[in-house]
Formats: sequence, structure tokens, C-alpha cells
Amino acid sequence: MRALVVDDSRFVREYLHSLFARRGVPCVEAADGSEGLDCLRQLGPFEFALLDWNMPVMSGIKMLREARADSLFDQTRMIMMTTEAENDHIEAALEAGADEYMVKPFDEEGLFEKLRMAGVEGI
Amino acid sequence: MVWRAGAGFKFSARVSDNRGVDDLTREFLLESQEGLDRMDRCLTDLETRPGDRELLAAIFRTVHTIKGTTGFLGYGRLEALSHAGENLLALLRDGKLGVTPEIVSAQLALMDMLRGILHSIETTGAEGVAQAADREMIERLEALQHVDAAVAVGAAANARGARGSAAVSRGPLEAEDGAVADAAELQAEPELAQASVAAPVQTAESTGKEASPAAAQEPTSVFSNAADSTLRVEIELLNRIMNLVGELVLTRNQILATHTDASSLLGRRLDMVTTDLREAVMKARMQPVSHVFSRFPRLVRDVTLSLNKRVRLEMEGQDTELDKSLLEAIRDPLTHSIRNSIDHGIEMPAARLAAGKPAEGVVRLRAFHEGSHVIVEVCDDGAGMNIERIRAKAIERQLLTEAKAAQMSEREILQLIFLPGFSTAAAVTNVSGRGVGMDVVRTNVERIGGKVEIESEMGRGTTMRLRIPLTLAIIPALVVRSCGQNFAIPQTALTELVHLSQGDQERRIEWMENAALYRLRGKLLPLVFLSELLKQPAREKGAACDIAMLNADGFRYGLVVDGLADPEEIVVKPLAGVLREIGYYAGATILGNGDMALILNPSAIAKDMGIRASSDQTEETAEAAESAGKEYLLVEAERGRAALPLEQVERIERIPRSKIEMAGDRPVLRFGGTLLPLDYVAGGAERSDSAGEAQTTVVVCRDGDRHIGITVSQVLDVAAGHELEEAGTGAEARGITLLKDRVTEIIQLSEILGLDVAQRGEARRNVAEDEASAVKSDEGSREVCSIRVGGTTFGVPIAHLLEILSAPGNQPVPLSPYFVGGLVHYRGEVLTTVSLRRLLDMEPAGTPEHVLVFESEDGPFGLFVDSVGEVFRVNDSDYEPNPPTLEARRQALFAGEWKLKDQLLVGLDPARLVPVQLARAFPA
Repeated sequence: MRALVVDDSRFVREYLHSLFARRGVPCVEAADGSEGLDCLRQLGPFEFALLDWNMPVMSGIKMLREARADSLFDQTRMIMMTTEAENDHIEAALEAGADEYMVKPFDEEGLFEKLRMAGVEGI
Repeated sequence: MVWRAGAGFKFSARVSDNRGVDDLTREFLLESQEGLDRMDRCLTDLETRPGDRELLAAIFRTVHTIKGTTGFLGYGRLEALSHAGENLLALLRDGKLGVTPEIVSAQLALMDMLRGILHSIETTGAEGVAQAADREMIERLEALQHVDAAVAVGAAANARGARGSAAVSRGPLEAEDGAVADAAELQAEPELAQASVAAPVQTAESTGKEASPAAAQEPTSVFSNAADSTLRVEIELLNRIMNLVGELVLTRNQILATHTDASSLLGRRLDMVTTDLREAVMKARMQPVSHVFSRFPRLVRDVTLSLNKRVRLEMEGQDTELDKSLLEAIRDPLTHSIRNSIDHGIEMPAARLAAGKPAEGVVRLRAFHEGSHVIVEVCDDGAGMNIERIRAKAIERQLLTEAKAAQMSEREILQLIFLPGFSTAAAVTNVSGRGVGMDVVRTNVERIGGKVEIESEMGRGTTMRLRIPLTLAIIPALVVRSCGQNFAIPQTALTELVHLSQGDQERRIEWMENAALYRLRGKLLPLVFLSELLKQPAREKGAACDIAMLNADGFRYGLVVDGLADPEEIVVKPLAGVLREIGYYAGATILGNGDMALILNPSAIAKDMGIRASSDQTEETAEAAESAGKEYLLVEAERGRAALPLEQVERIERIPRSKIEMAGDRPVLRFGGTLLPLDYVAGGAERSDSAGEAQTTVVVCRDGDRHIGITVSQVLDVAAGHELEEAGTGAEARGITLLKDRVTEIIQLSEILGLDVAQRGEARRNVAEDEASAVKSDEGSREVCSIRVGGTTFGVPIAHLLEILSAPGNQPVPLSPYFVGGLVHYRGEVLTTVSLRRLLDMEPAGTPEHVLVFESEDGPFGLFVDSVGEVFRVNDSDYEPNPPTLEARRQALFAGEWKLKDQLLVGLDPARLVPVQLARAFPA
């Protein structure tokens, strides 16, 4: 099992990395949507990916749309993470093909709960 | 992208510190601080490019990220503040609100506040309790959101013709967005009139990128610095790598020397790779000057606003790279120069218009390469310096006689501003002109081997030029030879080389009494013979030699050496104190082939040889500085004002009183691992800081290599004066001086320290009676390493022994104290090594075979020995003090002896062998 974390904040990447490391899940990191797509294409497959919404170069929602347009990544669970909890946002994310939607900040329990809800097994 | 293994392998070289802040928090702090630094720049840019969507989005994202991450760590204060900032920025980003100077000011103030809280987290681990200021800031940011409502209302009102009172001067900003300007008027802040004046512009290297919509659309405008392709590395680590590369070079040379067959293809490859590696590491220390420049737009904005002026900042050559440590060193001088330019250079807008200049002044910051230097210029188009005023001031301050001043050229007069205490500011503003002035700029720049030049034209402006060597650690040098030893001459001082073949000496070198001269293109230059200077054995007369023509700080002379080796980029290694005192050496270095060389200090040699500077101006300045008298630190003491000679002041510290401990009946302060004795002579009334903890000010002084802290109630000023006379007002304060027209006592450090040493001497004797606690132990036995020197077997406790080097090679140091055997290469550093043979007046034993490396408070040092035996355990019961019959020097050096079954081990205490200690205890 491997995870992809796409977030422009080093802190958030580090945080997630530390949570996954504790469970022995290797984790690849990307700093924006475009890097995230590169990772998907070159280093995949991934069981799941966590995408930040607001990032430079390419936003998380755009990356999600592009990834979902490619059937190669059908098996990859995608979870959007943002600070916006408005319905518009949640709907837009689910419409674009997100498996789950997670509001920052979240804790370890919340993260793995969401992953299970998104259908990631054995974590 | 970063690939990481699940085990938590860290890609970057980050070192967690011991302040209780964990890695994650550290990451958060770093990221947030970087974000805030970027914000400062973006926000000031925003004022000139208010419509730049890309910029707005980037600004929003930065604050958004900070807010987002604070939540994870539960920092409520930060979250509340950044949330308020984010809400306001969201309106800007979505175009619902126009950019106004008030908004930018508020956001900048917010950044400062966030910075303060981050600092608190970094130092205390907590963000502190929310204060009234937090509330005010949030209200200010919220109010600015509502101003937009006022814009809408105001716009409507304008439509009804309610626009009458718009008499406020308009800057380019407001002109671009009428509705916003009107809204600002409605708000009627006093700041408004000033707010439009500052518009620092970030000029791209290629210039011509105006704040046009076209430029605004270029996505590369702000964030092209590719931060994600770089890695954070501790400077310490780089230094270590540098040293290791040095080791590698040495190893390579040994391989090439011992395995002749290796000098084939493999050897050459190793050679090449090592050279490339060394160059790459040197490059890794370089950083673009933009690291320092990036903070100036903010500075210019703030200073300009506070002075009601209009100034635009232009920057060029931000990619120019400089050694990291140099970059840090020019930060303050540049800040000072820019403040000066705005405060004293650029005129008020009205005055500028009257002089036929645009109302907006320009400060231009430029960095570029010139030979082996980087030039950083601060150039303004202001009023320029008033030569006559400087001349008058110099006479008034008695820096110059009237007759002398009349003879000096404008250029020479201009250089006077670099003299200590020279400031012509008509009024002391809070921006600059506080007494410490250009002399500080000069001192800071000269400390890193740079130079400051100033040019000014009345009415046209002033240019301050800092000339900085490329790197501090690595300098180009020419290696020369004298009596079989290598010496390095910094290229900066070298002007040309002259070779004299055998027999040429007598013909080409002219003598006037005892002074040798060389006629170089008609000009007579004094000559210095390096071997004579260093008291090396005289060479055969008339042998071939080379003359290195030098120009060091205006001293022009020729240095006669036996021969030349290659020019080389050398890494400067500092010398230990006892060798630094010789004065002729600027350091030592390890050459590419692994040999060591002493680096010569051409200007120190010139001064010592009595060579006069050829430039009259330098002389003039030096003379003027002389007549200004000595500089003193003026302090407030219990019984009035007192003065401390500035040259003896090392630093000033504010410390909580609780940190003062008592050692016996003396107050001391613990600094790292050392104890600083304190003296209350000057009083030291307690002052409480806001937190309520009693604080005291300690002036850390130094006399020779002894330190003492003087507690005072307040530090007042720095002033120049002459010591007047001896007065018996107290045991320790004898001299008096006239400072700022008041008679002031001078605290005589040597007296205080003299008492101190006498007391300590007493203590030392007591310890001596107890005999060598250093070589005895609590457990009844201890491990010693046996060594042999000149037929005697010594035992050295291994507690402070770091390593034993075999066949270390040795670089003798001419003119060094007699007990210094030479320099030894140790892990990329240059180790001062003591010769026990010389110390004990024994015959030198040829090339020493072994060096024991000991640690000490002054860093590691070495001890040459003939041979090294084994390490074994000795019992304290076998220990006896030195026999009373022992000769005085041995009595002081030896630490008793162990009488073992089959041999006698003489005790040696490494602490007594530290070079600085030896210099004090056994002067020649």
C-alpha cells in the first residue's frame, strides 16, 4: 500500500507523512497538482491520494478532474482536503470524482476514519 | 516530488534543536516564517500592481496556508488573526474590494504580529495569551472589510455629487481606482496623506517591466525562485563537508605519493573528482543577494511613510551570489545606507519639484560582479552631500585644522564621514543620524575584508559602494616559497611579479642606508625580505629571487621571496591566539597538495615595517581619527557616569539577575561552559523589565585574553575623548576624561583584572598544594596513556585526549613562541602543536613522529611526542607529588608522578599545556 499526498504546505505533508509512517505506509509527496499528476503517472499505482484544494500552479480540484479523466487511476481513492466546509465546495469536489471530502484541521482518528469511509482497506 | 520510505527517513538535512519544539512544529515555524517574508515583498508589490490577480492569489494562499496549518497544532491566537487577514484578502482576490494603502498597512502590521507570535512559539513553545492588540488588529481588519460597504455607499454618494472635499493629494494608486480613493477619504485617516507617497517598485533585471497588465499576467513574476528544488542545509554541515573534502584531498595526495602505479588513469580520475567536489562544496555556500534585498521594499516603504517623502526603490542584479556569511554581514550596512539615502539624501517632494526633479525620488540598489569582488551599490538621486558642511563640521569637531581642511580635495572631504562620531544630520530623526553612522558601515564592511567608497554630487545624488570579496572562507592567493616553506599572499594585495635572476639582485636592488628599494617604472618602492622578516636563516647572497609587488590598503611595497609556486584558491583557517598575535599571519591554509601554508597579512607587514601609505588621503584620515581621541562607552553607574574604553568592550548583554551565581565571594555569570567573573564597580542598580523579572546590564570587557563583566545600570552612549590625568578617586577608577563636556571616570580594567588575577593566583597556589587534582581521580585509579619524550616516560590522563596522529607532517611557524612546534593538519583544521622538547629545553628530535590531540576550552591543540606507548590503569596510591628538588619550570609543568613496579611515570596535565596558558605561564 502506498499513499500520495499533494499539498503545497510542507508542514501538512510532514504531518501526514508522520501519521502514515507510524502505520508503515510509504508516502510520496507532491507540492502542487501538476506534480501530483506526474507522481500518479510515473510512480503509480497508489491506493489513495490526499489532495489539497488551494495550491499554486495547479489546484487540487483541477488535478482531481484530470486524474478522473484517465481510467488508469480508477482504482485510486481520492480525498480532497480543504479548510472550506461550505456545501458548494463539497458538492464540487464529489462531482469532480472525489471519494471523500475532509475539512482541515483533522486529527489522526479523523484521517483514518475518512480513509475507511472512502473505501481504503487494511490501514 | 519527494519519495520517502515508510520508516520515516528524512530527506532534508534538518537537525531538531533542544528547545522542546518538535520536528513538526519546527517545520510549521519555518514554513510560516518563509511565507511571511514572501508576503512582505508581495504586499509592497501590490501597491504598484493593485490589479495583479496572480499576486493577489499568491498572497491569499500564503495567509490561507498559515491559517490552515495553525489549526492542526491548535494555535488559536494565530488562527484567529490569520483568519481575519484571510477574510479581507479573499475580498481583494475576488475583486470585491480594491487595494488601498490602509489595507496594505494593516496586512503588513498583521504580518509583524504573526511573526511575533511565531517567535514566541519558537522560544517558549507557546503562542502566549491573546492580548488586547489581537482584538484591535482583528477589528481593524474587519473594519477594512466594511470600508468596502462604504465604497459602495460612497460611490453612490459621489453620483449624487457629494465629492466636494476631495483635496487630498493623489498618488498613482488612487488615480487608478477612484472608488477606492474615495472610500479612503471617507475614512479620513491621518495616515492617508502619507499613504500615497510610497510605492517601491521591484524592477526586474531586464528593467522595462512596468506595472502594466501585461506584466501582471506573467505568472513567473513573483514565484520563479523554484523553492521546491532546493534543500535546507545547516551551515555547520557545510563546514564539515568542506573539512572532509580537505581530508580527502590529503588522502589523495598520500595515495599518489605512495602508490606510483596509481598515478595512472585511476589516480588522475581521483584527482579530478576531488577537485570538482571541492569546487562544488564551495559553490554550495553561495546564496543570491536577493535573500538580503527582499526585505528592503518593506523598509523603504516604512521609512518613506514616516518621513512624508516619496521614494521608489529599484533593485538590480538580485541573482548575484555571495558567500552566506558575507551576505549576513552586509545586511546591516546596507540597511543603514538605504535609511541614510532616504533620510538625508532624498529631498521632500516640494523641494524636489522646486529643484526641477520629479517629486518621487529613486533609491537604486545594484549588485554585480567585478573581478573577484561583488559590488553592491546604494545610489540615490537626492540632494547629494554638502561638501562645505562636512568641511565645517570636521573643523568644528576638531577633526581637522582649518588650514588642512582648505587643502583637501572634495573627494577627501567626503571620506571624512566615515570617521567615528561624525554625523551632519541637522536633527536627530528616529530613522538615522543617531551618532552611530557611517563609521559603523565602514567597520562592518572592513571586518569581512571589503571596502566602502562614496561618491556624491551636490544636487544630483549620492552613491555608496560596498566592495565585497566573493567569499570569506575561500580566497585566491599566490603561493610563494621562503626557506623551503610555503606562504600564501592574498591576490587582492598583489599587483605584479618581478623575477630577478642570479646576480640581478645587486644590480637591480638599490640601497639607501639600510633600506632596500626597487625602481619599478621610475618609481622607488621599498622592499621587504620575507626571510629576514621571519628571521629565517639567511640565503646565499645574490641568488635568484622573486619580488611580489603589493598594494595593501594603500601601502605599496615589494616582498622579496625565494620563489613562486602556483596561484591557488585557498580555504582560510584561523590561527590560535598565540600565533595570531605574531601579526604577520592572516591565517593558515591547507594547499591542494595537502601541504600547509601560512597566509601573510600584507598590510600588517607594511605597517610593522614602517612603510608609509602612498595615498595622502589615507594618511589624512588616519591622522584625523587620531586627533579625535580614544572612544569610550559611556555608562550610568551607581556613583555617576563612568567610561569604559570601547576597544576593550566586547558586547553588552541584558541578563536576568537570577542568572548571577556566587563562586566563593565573587559574583559570576555562566556563559556556555565558562564562568565570567562580574564586577559591581560601576554599580548595577536593578531594573525591572515588563515581565517583572529583575534584569541587569552587563558590559562584557576584555583585557588581553581575560574577560570580565561589568554590571551597570544603563548604557548611555559612545563618545570620544582624551584621558586627562590620574586622579585617586578609587582603587579601580583612576583616569578621567572629558566626554560630552562632562568629566567622566574611566574604569581601568587592568586594575580590576589585576586584583582578580592576584586573588586567583592565591587560589591556584592552594590547589597546587593539594597537588594535581587533575591527574588524580575519585575512584582511586585512572587511565593514562604513556608517552616518551627525550628519554622520560610521561603519563597523560586520557580524559581530554581526542586522538593520536601518526606521521602528521609539520608546518613550522616562524616567529612563533618557542614552545610551539608548528602546525599540524587535523580533520580539515589547522592545529597548533606544542613541543614538549622545546618547552623543556631539549634538542629537537628531527621530524616528530606522533601528535596527541587534546581538547580544551580554546579548541583542540596538539602535543608532539617521540613515541606513544600503551594505555593502562594507574592507582592513586602509587601517586606522589613532584619532588621538591625539581627545577622550577618542570615543577610547574609536571603534575606529580606515579611510581610503578618497573617504571616511573611523570604526570602531565593537558590543561597546563594549552598554548594560551603556556604563553602566560612561560613567556620566553
